[in-house]
Amino acid sequence: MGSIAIVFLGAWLLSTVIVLIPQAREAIRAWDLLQLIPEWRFFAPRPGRNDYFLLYRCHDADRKPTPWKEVSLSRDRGFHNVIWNPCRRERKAWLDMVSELLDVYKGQPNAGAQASVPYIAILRAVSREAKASHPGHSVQFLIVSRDGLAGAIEMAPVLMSSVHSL
Amino acid sequence: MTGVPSAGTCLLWSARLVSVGLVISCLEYIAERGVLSNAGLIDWELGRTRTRLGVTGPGARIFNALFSYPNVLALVACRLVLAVIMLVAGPAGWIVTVPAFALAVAFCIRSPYGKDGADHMSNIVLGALAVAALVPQPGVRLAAVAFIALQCALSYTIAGIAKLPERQWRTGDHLCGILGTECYGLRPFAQRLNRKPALARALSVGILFWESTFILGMLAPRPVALAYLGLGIAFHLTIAVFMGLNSFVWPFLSAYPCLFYWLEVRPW
Repeated sequence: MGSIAIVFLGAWLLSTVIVLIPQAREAIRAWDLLQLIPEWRFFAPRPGRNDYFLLYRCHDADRKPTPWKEVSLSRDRGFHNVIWNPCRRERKAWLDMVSELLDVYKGQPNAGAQASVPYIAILRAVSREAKASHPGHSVQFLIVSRDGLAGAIEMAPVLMSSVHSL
Repeated sequence: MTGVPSAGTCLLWSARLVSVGLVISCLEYIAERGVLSNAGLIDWELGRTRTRLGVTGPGARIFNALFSYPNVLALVACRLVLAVIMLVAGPAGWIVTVPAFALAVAFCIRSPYGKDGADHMSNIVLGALAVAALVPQPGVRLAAVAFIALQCALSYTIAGIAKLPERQWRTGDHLCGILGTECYGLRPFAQRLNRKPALARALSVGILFWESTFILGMLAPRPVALAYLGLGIAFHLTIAVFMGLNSFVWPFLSAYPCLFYWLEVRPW
């Protein structure tokens, strides 16, 4: 049993190195159902330097749109986060979703991207807010980004969704 | 070799340190439990469609029962209890470490969103503790310590080498850019740092050098190796303060007893 345990740990360690080889990456990921193999990158090589904001607007029966409104995500940041940062996961999940959605849009036509998990998740989030304020309307979302060093109002549109019935 | 801690003592301290992070993580999940609900971004209802295991077959029924909201909060509570036991008693045998590891893996399967390197390091430490507890032999304990130490050293070195080709890492632009985001930074600090490019460059190059040479640092003479470990502790505390990455502190520091052990037992 001792040898098996040591071989298991050795294989786990070796996989951490082999997964860095681009040709081996997909094969290892296909086998790594438990997501045990890390990719130690820590913001490398190109870190995300943008904040992303989610806006939505509703369209009434005449397709007249309301003004854009921001979906509030927890952005509470302060020195207490050194110990306690419960909003961190939601913020990271949001970044992961936007990043995945932008990748999906690069590789697929519009219809395929609209069936992706991040698209549906974001649509669901805006629909929930929109239903409360504008029942019976259609909804459309917009993702805008701001570079970390840009001014507070220097936003750039990244992705605009189709209009969906609520 | 008098005074050198045993591999078992290293694992005890690793277990305690990783447990602190787990306790905080579980309490954070409970405080922001809405994020796990069907209305949240880390939900199971949609996330399960990513894997066949979550949609069809007998496994799907089990996963649905475990991972749907609010049932998943029971898993969070179990993780919390196990973490408290490990914090007080150390690894405390396979009956604690194996379920703690299984639950950590379960949370990674449930949703890929919101996970980071801290979750991976936590899983690595818990996995090594589980193996060492399942096969309680001196050789396996030593292998577990070596595994944790090497994973930690690899993590810094790989990340550092991956950054080196990027000019903006070497100029400090990327560092200022990350620190300027609301998610990972403090904008006033980033804007001040951006006005002092020489300081930004020095900080960024310093991080790149420390990360990419970390494995070499562990082979260097003892004072140099200790300086690398001291810088590592300072690094994690600094990113917790400036980037809000409190989650990285405890899992990574839980690997440090194993790195200190290496410095004690190496033949030079």
